[in-house]
Amino acid sequence: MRNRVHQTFSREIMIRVAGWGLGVFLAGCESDLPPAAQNLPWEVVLTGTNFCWEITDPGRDGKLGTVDDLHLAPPLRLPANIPTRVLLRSRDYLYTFELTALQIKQIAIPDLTYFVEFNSGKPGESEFRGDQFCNNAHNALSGTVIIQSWRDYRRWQAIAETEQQTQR
Amino acid sequence: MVVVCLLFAGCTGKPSEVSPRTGPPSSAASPITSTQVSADPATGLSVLGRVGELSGHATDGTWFDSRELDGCVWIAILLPESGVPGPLVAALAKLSTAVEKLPEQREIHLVCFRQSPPANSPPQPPFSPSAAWKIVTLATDQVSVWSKTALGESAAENAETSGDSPPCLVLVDATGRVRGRDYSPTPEGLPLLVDDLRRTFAERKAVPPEIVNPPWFASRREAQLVAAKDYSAQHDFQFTDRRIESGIRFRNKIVDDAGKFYKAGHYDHGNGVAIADADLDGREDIYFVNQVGGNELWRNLGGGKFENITSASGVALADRIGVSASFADIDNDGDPDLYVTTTRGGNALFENDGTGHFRDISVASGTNYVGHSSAAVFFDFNRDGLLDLFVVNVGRFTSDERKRVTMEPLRDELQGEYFYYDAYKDAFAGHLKPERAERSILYQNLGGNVFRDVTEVMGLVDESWSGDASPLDVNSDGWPDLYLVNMQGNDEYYENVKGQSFVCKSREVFPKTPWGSMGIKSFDFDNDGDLDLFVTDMHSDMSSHIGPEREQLKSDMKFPDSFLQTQGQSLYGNAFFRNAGNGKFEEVSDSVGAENYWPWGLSVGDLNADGFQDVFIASSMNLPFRYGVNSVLLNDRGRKFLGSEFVLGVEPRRGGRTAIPWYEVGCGGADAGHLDCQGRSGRVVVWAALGSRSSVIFDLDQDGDLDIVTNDFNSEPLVLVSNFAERHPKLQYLKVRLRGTASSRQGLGAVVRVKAGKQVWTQVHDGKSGYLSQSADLLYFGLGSITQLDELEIQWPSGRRQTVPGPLSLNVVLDVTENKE
Repeated sequence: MRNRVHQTFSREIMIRVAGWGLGVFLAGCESDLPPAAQNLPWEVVLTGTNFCWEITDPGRDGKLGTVDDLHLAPPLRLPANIPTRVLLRSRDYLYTFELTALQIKQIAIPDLTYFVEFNSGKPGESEFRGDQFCNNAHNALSGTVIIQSWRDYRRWQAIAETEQQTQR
Repeated sequence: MVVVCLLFAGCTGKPSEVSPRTGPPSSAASPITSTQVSADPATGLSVLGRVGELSGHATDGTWFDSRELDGCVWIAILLPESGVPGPLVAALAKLSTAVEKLPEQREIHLVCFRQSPPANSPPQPPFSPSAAWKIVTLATDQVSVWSKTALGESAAENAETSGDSPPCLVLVDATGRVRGRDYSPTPEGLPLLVDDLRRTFAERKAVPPEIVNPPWFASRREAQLVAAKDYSAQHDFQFTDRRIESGIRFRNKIVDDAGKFYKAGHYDHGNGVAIADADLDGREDIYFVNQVGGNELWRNLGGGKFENITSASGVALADRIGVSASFADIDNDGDPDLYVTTTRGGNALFENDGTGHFRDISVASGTNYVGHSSAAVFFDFNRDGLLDLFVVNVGRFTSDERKRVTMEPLRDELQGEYFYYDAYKDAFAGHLKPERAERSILYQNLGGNVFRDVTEVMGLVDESWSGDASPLDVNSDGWPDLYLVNMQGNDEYYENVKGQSFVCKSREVFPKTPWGSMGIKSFDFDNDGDLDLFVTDMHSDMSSHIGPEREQLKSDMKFPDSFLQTQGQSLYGNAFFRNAGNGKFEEVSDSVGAENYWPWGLSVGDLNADGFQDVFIASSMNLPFRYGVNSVLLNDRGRKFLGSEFVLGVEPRRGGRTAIPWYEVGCGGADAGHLDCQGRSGRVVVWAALGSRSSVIFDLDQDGDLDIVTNDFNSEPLVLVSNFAERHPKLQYLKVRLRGTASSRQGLGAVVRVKAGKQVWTQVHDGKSGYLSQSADLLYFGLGSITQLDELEIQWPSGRRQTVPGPLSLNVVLDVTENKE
């Protein structure tokens, strides 16, 4: 058991180092500019599933629906100071998603896609809330929004991508 | 003589080796009915059986009925015939002291049973361990019921051969199940009993937690009682829930989607209750619609008593998920026929043979629609003297997956298997999915009990998510228009163009309507001669938590616009449209005090017979929301409504109940993954708030005042009997029974005006008796203190106007037949 734990720990360190290195490399590339330069909103997807949110981050290519999409649990991470669009979907129930600081609220419904748009603003943390229309508390539907500088965000993406690939 | 004291191995002093906490019961404590004995690995408390219904005289002069204890835990003992020894008295006193220290002591009842002594025997000596014990004398047959159900059949048999021995205490849970039966009234036995009592309460999970003893309830009651000191509307009378005394045993039962596997779907909208004199004996009978287990028709025997005639009448529809009921005389033969809607089981039309026996003519009549139907409204849209039918359909809120109902083991009342269609998990978003729309249907009565779908021909194509509708003549042209409530969007209004077509004029006449409309009733609120309109809004109260302090306010709507889809053109609460004449309505709900919390439908009647129509709003959502009171709004002479549910004894409910056991999950077994098992183990009994769905106001006991009967969701109805007539022997009223000739025999749609001097009372005979309900009832006019009625005027649907000259007798049923002109 000790061995397995040690191996896991070592592998995690290697992944993080590799991810950090990749992040530094990407952050240093001139072509890795925020999509704001293209006047397009940065898109992520939140999908309600069994009283939880599943987050789909577009990955390094910045495009949803491609192989490098990241599938994650909250918190929701977003790059700072760019137009942002959070697409809301559901696999089962009817949910609401609310960015309390921005007083934005939207629904998530199976087979349909709704969204909220906003400027992500400065780096920092805020909260989002979720509800399931039934008065029962579903704490997993609420969580934290972490706004990061573009460079930090890209580093995090790189680490997350490496972790995801490893898990596969 | 029945041997009343029973011998148990574990009831002689020290803890029993068949303690209910230690696994399988011994033969002496074997199951006594089909109820499964199941030791609970977490709490150790098994279910040993179910106590039968018991009743008898109590020494405090009251009548004891074990059904009163539904929702309460109780401890009982059958006293020895030979007398009550001192040690036993002391033990019972000690037990009551221990119970008083428990936080749930208000919910625990202590009962001593003793057998009725033989005739000519000396009186039983007084016995009083403490004031907490109710001492009830049971007849011999009742003792037998106790012995066989509470103590177990084999125990009773043992007792017959064993003779007298010390009696045991029995622990009964909130649903009448025996959870322990062999506690000896000794220093060794009592701690075991108290321990198991605690375990029984530990099984409870109240959702939300404050429903059992709402912290706001007492202050809310007090505030209303204080406010009532300034009420000018007469309120010196009381309603009392006489369900148990009435003999009505109906209990509404529900599908799992509204309970154990709750979804925000539409099954929780519940069922209607309608009245009609089904057997033409001069008394109104009650038809309760049930979601599961079949509907029931209860015959009014007079004197406030009823008997179940469902089987003989043939209107149970036990194989279907029932929704609403509407009585109407479709063939003009003088008896009320019946239409019942269901969720995907097929709607049913029954023809009455005049004796209260009904024949299913659904298929032949062409009205056997299969879908998600809600209310059904009879009205004569083309004024041909035949009652047409508008069937309101909600929308497709279920998938094709069929599921078995598993809610009933908690009470063991349901025999056989019942199935329902699984509600979509996103059912409440149905209005955003056009493919789930289900249009309502207008049937034209062709005569001969045959109907034809004329929805498209008449231009009445409506796909709102609707639960109810009402005819009303908005433009006073004599043709009944139709107002259709939308539970997920704005309401719709269709103007009847001379019986040839309907034209939608919704926003033109009603620019803003409630977003989540449920109930509707038109009546003359202010006695100005025209009909106003009250629409209740339930769904708006769902968007965020509404505390008791906000009940009189509109909802602070939290649903996003993308969900509401009404572009801000909605009210988020009840609407009261005061008729301003010329087809114009003014929304005045806030100024007249028409708002309440979590309303379903409303019923209207002059509860204090002062000549102004009062309102009862069936309210409260049950699981998983907080308790809401049923609202009684007394009409303050057409100026405003006065909240009066506490003043008139409608609240608190009988026994002070606000919540009941709703369903049960076994967290150690098949239900381990259930949401209610998070952080729990063993048996979990989930409690939910009580709530009414529909109601009907009528003179149940024919004493001259109006009573109220509800259909509650997943529980028993309220049978609220008024003592107004008793308190006011000089009560004055007039009941009017119409008999149309050119109009439909029932005279549906007629406007009746009663005149006394300058006073005029106006009522429309539309049959709308509450949410999901249409009744064939008399019109009731409270007349206040007038001394003489001068005239009665009727505007028949046929167009004829008729005057019945006075002076008219008071306090009678006035039969009026449509004249020939």
